[in-house]
Amino acid sequence: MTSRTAARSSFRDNAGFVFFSEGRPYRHVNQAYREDFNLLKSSGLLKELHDEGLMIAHEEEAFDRAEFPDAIAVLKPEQVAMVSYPYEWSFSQLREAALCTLEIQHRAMQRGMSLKDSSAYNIQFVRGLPTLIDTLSLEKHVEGEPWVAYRQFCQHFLAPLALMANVAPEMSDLLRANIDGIPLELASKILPRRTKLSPGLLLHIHAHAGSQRRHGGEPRVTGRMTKLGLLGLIDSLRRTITKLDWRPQGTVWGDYYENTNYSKAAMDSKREIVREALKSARPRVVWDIGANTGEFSRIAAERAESVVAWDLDPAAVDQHYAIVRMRDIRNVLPLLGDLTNPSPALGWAHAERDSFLQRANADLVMALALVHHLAIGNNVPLNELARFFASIGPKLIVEFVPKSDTQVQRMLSSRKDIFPDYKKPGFERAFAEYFEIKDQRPVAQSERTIYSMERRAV
Amino acid sequence: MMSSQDFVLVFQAPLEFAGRHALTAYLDGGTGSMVMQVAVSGLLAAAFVYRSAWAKVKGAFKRIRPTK
Repeated sequence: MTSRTAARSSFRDNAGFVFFSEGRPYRHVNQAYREDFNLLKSSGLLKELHDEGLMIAHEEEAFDRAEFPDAIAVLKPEQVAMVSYPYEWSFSQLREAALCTLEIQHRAMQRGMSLKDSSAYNIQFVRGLPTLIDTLSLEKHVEGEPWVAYRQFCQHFLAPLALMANVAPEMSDLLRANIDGIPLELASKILPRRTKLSPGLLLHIHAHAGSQRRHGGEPRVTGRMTKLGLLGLIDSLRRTITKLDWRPQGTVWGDYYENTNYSKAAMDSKREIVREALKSARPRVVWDIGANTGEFSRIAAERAESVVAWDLDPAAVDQHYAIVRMRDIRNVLPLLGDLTNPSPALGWAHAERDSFLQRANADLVMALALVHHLAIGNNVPLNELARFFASIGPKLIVEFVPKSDTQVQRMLSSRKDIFPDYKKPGFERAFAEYFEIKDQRPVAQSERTIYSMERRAV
Repeated sequence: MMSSQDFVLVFQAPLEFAGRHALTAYLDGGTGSMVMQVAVSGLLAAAFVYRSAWAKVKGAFKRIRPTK
């Protein structure tokens, strides 16, 4: 391998680490993991998890021992199209990721192994489904030992899900502030009292938090835990999570397409214009920002290899995820994100979790019915918007909604109009600084225009 | 109703016989979290056995009962 860079997020586990070479990730397996790695293969667990799509597939690379003196293996895993984080997942996405983790732990127990960590960051959506990407997460189960990753599972999955279901879906934001999951004592304080009536939440959150408080700082003491006890624990967590439910109600955009001021003809026209623009742009990766429930993301998915569909409304993202799961559309990933405050770089040295822009790998950006929300709703100057879009990808399909549109009039009805340049010529002038306008089409029976643009060479 | 603190106190009694184990994993499982699991282990095992048996009974009943 010519040049190698260690991933700065991969430093906790002494079993191995991730490095990048020629733009793709590899996993270095250390000597320390030899026994567990052999068991993972000989027990049949690795094959089972691969066959079931629960763990990411990999190939073992032939390697030069002089180049990798501490390695017992170098793995070349399948590449993840888009790395996303738990604070960007809707309720259903986080719940499916949790159930995937428990399913892996259940299967591991049957083959004498156990997950030594249960970080939600080890799960990624690969071809639309939650998948464990950390091959080195499994270790030999020591008879009688409790599950070492139980606390982490409750912090990364159960606590946020319980808070989202019982308080508000926006509670997943707490995952952004707490890199190792939501502390159980905090979750226990915020959750309504009635959650103590749920045996699962009483046990795994409230009593668990009490036990942590009582035994904090004490040396590690354990009794024996039978295999049946461990299977019971997994089953109890699974039942608790399955029972948690959140149904979006009265949200901002959840019913947007039903209540919009588009006529059927305008909607058909918009679909046709977007379809044509995509056809000539021929993108591989599309980022649909302000995607709502993904009406246009799915049109993009007809042509692109991969579509990432961002929206700020948890209800819209959850609904979008339900649609792609139901229709088995595997190349669209709905994600939760607020463009006025996009995901920052987080963790140790700001290097463990990449920011929104660090992950921007789109070759086409779609921003439909979005500009007025950012320019008027958040006072972002039009040239600043253009600059931001240009930093996401080289091609752009963008819709301009003028002040005469009822949506914009509604936005301006409660505030002073301080946007003299918010007109078609002003919009074109601002965007021309960063993009070349290739085409523009009026949306039938509306005053909106859809532009196709290409980023100017710097 | 039993408070969460009482709940822990009742179920952690068996821990008086607990032993100390070598540290193997790279993560700190947290003493409170380990104690919690051992404390409720019997309860969870019993619930699991009961549910599994009940599922088998229901499964057998469904097989016997003719479908319309």
